[in-house]
Amino acid sequence: MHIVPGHLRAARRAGARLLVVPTLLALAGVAACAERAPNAARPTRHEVVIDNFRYLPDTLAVAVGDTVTWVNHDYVPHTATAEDHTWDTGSIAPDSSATVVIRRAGAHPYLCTFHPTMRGLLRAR
Amino acid sequence: MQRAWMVLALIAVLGACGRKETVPNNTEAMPAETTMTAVTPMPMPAESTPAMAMTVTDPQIAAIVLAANSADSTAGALAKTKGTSAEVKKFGERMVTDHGASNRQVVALAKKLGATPEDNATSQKMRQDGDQNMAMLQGLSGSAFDKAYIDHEVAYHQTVLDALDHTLIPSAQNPELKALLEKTRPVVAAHLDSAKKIQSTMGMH
Repeated sequence: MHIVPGHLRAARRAGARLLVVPTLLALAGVAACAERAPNAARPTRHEVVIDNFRYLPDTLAVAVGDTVTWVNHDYVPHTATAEDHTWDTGSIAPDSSATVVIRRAGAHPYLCTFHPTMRGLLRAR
Repeated sequence: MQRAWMVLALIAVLGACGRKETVPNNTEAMPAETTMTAVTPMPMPAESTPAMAMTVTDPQIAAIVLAANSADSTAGALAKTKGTSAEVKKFGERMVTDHGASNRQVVALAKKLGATPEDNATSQKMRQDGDQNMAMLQGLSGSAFDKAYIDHEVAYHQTVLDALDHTLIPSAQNPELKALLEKTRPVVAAHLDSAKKIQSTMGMH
C-alpha cells in the first residue's frame, strides 16, 4: 500500500491512454473486451469524507488494488494512518485530499494521528 | 475544583453579558447585510440550566471565540517548547495549529460579513485567565509543568465545550456563524478527549 501523488496518477493514466489509443480499432477492441469481462479485476476508487472529525463512512469494504481517497472538509488538518503504520496519508490540509492504494488483504484499522479519537476501518478482500 | 471554578466564572460573565444584551439592538450600527445581532432570552424549559437562558450578540460571540482560541494557542506554543513528555509537546503543537485555524475562520467570516468582533466581559475574562495560566506555567518546569498544563487544558476545553453547547451555539443568529461554531464543537471535543487521555496516563486524578 502506498500513496500515489496526483501527478503520478495523471502520468499513469496518460501512459495507459498511449497504449490503448494507437488506432480507433484498437480502442474499440479494448472497450469490447471490457464489456465482455465485467467481473475482471478493475481497481475501484473509493472516497472517504472527513467531516466534523469523523471518517464517513468509518468502515469501508475494498479490494486489493483499489484506491481510497480521503477528502478533508474540516478546517484543520487530519491524517489517515494505519495503526500498524504500513500506510499513512500524511497531513491532509483543509479542502485537500490524499490517496492510498490497498496492497494487502485483511483489516486495516486506521486513525488520525493529530486527533487520535478519530478512527476508521478498511476491510480489504 | 479548578474546572468548577472556571465554569462558574464563565457562566457568571456570560450571564452578565446576556442580561446586558436583552436591550433592543441598534441595527443601524452595522451594515444591513450583517445579521450579527443581539437576541432576547429564549423561553427556558424548567429543566434547563441557567446558562441556557443567557445570550450574547454575534459580534460578542466572535470576540469570545477569538479570545479563547488565542489563549489556548499561546499556552500550546509554550507547551511545545517547555513541555517534557513527547505527548505534551505534541498536544501543545496541535493546539497552536487547530486554534490558529479556528481563529482564521472567525476572522474570515467577520470580514465577509463586514462585522467587527465586540470585546465583552467574557472575552476579557478569557484573556485574563489565559494570562494567569501563562504566568503560572512560566514558573513551572519538568513534570510539574506537564501536569499543570494538561490539567488546565482539560478544564479549559470542558468549559469551552459547555459554553458552546449552552450559550454560544444557541445564541448565534447568523447562520454562517452558527455553522462555524457547530464546526468548532468537534474540534474542542476532540481536544478534550485527548487531554483527558494524556492526563490519565500521567496518573493524574
